[in-house]
Amino acid sequence: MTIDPEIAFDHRVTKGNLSWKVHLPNLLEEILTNPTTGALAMPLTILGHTLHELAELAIEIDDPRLHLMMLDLTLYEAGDPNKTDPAEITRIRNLLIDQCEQLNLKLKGTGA
Amino acid sequence: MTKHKHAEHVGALGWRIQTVNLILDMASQAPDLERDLDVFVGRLKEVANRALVLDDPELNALMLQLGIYGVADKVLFPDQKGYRIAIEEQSTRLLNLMKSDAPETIEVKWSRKSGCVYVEPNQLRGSENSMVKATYRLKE
Repeated sequence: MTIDPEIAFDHRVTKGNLSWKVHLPNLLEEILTNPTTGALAMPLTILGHTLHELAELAIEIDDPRLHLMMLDLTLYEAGDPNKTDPAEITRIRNLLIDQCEQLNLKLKGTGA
Repeated sequence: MTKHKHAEHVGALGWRIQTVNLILDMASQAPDLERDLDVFVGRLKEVANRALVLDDPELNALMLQLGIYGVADKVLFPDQKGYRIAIEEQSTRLLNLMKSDAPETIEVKWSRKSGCVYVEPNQLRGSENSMVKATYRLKE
């Protein structure tokens, strides 16, 4: 089976800077469907569930920097370009970046 | 063939995942995705750094479970004792917090069918009036 990195990975320009974004669900799905990685299915499933818990907890903690990270890992559906309009993603992202700036939080790696 | 042990069940403490080992093996078995995994590791480090700043007991426990904090690294600390103590310390902190100040409950709805987690707009300070949905889709 051929792995298509473009499905698992994409990049975009935000506020004029290039930032890398990980589509984590697609990335893990790609790895899971690769015949050579069969032995990793169980730990990957556990990792997936734990990351799901992390996303739920991030919502409860409600920290804008953490929201931004979850968005960029596509752990929030609002950050998934397959499900959410890219303009809406940018709008939410910019709102979170503004929040972080108001709180003087470092934005290294966010492209802001 | 995998070189490392990636996940183990530690009794009542739940699953302990060796995320670093898992990523190393993923990279060796799917070299085309090495670059993607590099970015994932970078993002995960940022999450861990933020978690240290926030110092939320539940978040700390999750970072320990994921083997991202040093004390939870099985290569650095092969003994279960340090890991157990660290997890129990966070659990105690969480219990004390719950006793002293009942935390605000946020209803998180999760549909197993769609794999989506979502909260109402007013529950998220950062996103203002947007319906922010969290999702994690993984092949079952």
